[in-house]
Parts: sequence; C-alpha cells; structure tokens
Amino acid sequence: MKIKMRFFRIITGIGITLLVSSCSVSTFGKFQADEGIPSFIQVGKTTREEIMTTLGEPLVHRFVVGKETLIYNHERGEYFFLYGTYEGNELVIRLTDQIVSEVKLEKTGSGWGFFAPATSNNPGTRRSAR
Amino acid sequence: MLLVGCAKTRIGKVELSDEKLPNFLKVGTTRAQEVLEQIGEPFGYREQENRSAMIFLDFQEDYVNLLITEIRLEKAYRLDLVFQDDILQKAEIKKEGWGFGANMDPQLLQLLAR
Repeated sequence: MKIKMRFFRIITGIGITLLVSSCSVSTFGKFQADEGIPSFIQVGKTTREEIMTTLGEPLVHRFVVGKETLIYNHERGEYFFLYGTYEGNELVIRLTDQIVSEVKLEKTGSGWGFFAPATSNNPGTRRSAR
Repeated sequence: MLLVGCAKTRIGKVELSDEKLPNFLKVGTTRAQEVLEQIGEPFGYREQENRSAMIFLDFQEDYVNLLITEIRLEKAYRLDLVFQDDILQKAEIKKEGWGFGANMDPQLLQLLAR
C-alpha cells in the first residue's frame, strides 16, 4: 500500500511539473550571433559579393559617413520551463571599394522573464531592434 | 507562485531614460565617426549633401502578471543627432511615448467567483 502511495505521489509530481513546464526557441536572422563574427569575413580580403553569396541579402544596406554598410541582425528568444530570455545582435560590415574594411558585432537588446517569457520573445515580430 | 510572473526587456544601444545626453556628445566638436565608435550603428540614418542625421532608440518594457491581473509599463525614447560636415550641430532626446496596460482576465475572474 505504501509503495503504491509513493508511486502515485511521484506520478502526480511528474504530472504537475509537466503541466507547468513548456519550452520554445525562436530565432530570426541570417547569421548566428552566439558564434561571433562569421569566420569567413576577413578585413581587407572578403568582398561584398562573397558576403552576399554566403549570408544573403542584408536587412539594411546603406552608406553611413561615406562608407558602404551592410547590416545583418540576429534575434533569439528562449523559454525553458519557467524562465525566458531574449537577445538581439547585429553584424555591422563596412566596405571600402567593395572590400570589408571594418566588421563588428553589436548588441541591440536583451530581456528576461520569470514565470513569463521575455516580452520580446518572438523575434522579428512584436518588437524588434530593426 | 504559479500565478505570478514578471519580465523585463530593453531594446537600444544607448541609455536615454534619464533624458540626459551621453557625456561625450558636444555640439560643435563631436564627429559622426566618434558617435559610431561610442554608441554603435544608428537605428536610422540619412545623408543629404553635407548634412546627415542619426536616430537612436531606447525602448524599455516591464511586465508583471499577478493572479488575474497583468500590468505592462512601456517607455520609449529617441535620440536625434544632426551633423553638418560630419560635426554635431544638434542633439535632442525626445520621449517617444509611454504605455501602461492593465488587464484583468474576465474568464478567470468568473471561474474564481464560482
């Protein structure tokens, strides 16, 4: 009888845990910010064409302070069990004569949620850095 | 405990909630390149002849869910920078907006009343 009760409690405990738990991972973007600057990009060597071929069309393509600039963004929202996080980054590439002259990774936002997803947890939808 | 939740999100590269300009910004001396180095790539950018403008945003959202009520507080600020010949001519912080949302779930309320 005691063993049955113990088994019942364990099953009930697992059941309740499963009921209150959930998980999701959403990503938006054409590069992986957690892997850092893509290794194929090298200052003074990589061309615009190589970047476009590998990463695809950038989210933003413009001239800033006289330099051709490509911007790719990456947003990631995670929600595991009872805790959620959000992080946004962008890869900024400047070109001189169609060759990479500067490349950097910049953080655009972050968030957390406890017993609730970080409210920007659906990247590229509700609120986005761009 | 299960009916309580909270979340905090911030989007932007510069803190503007105190409505004070970043210390390094000096009208008449700061160059556009310095802004790119100190703050980073602007959200918005436009160039016309020898004038250019940058826009940076700061969005902050706090969310609390307590039993049957959810409260959402939002604040959004915008930093406008205008350059003439790449030298800062104008710097201004605008409070773009704020939001307060409180919502009570009527279905849950009915369920509790029963």
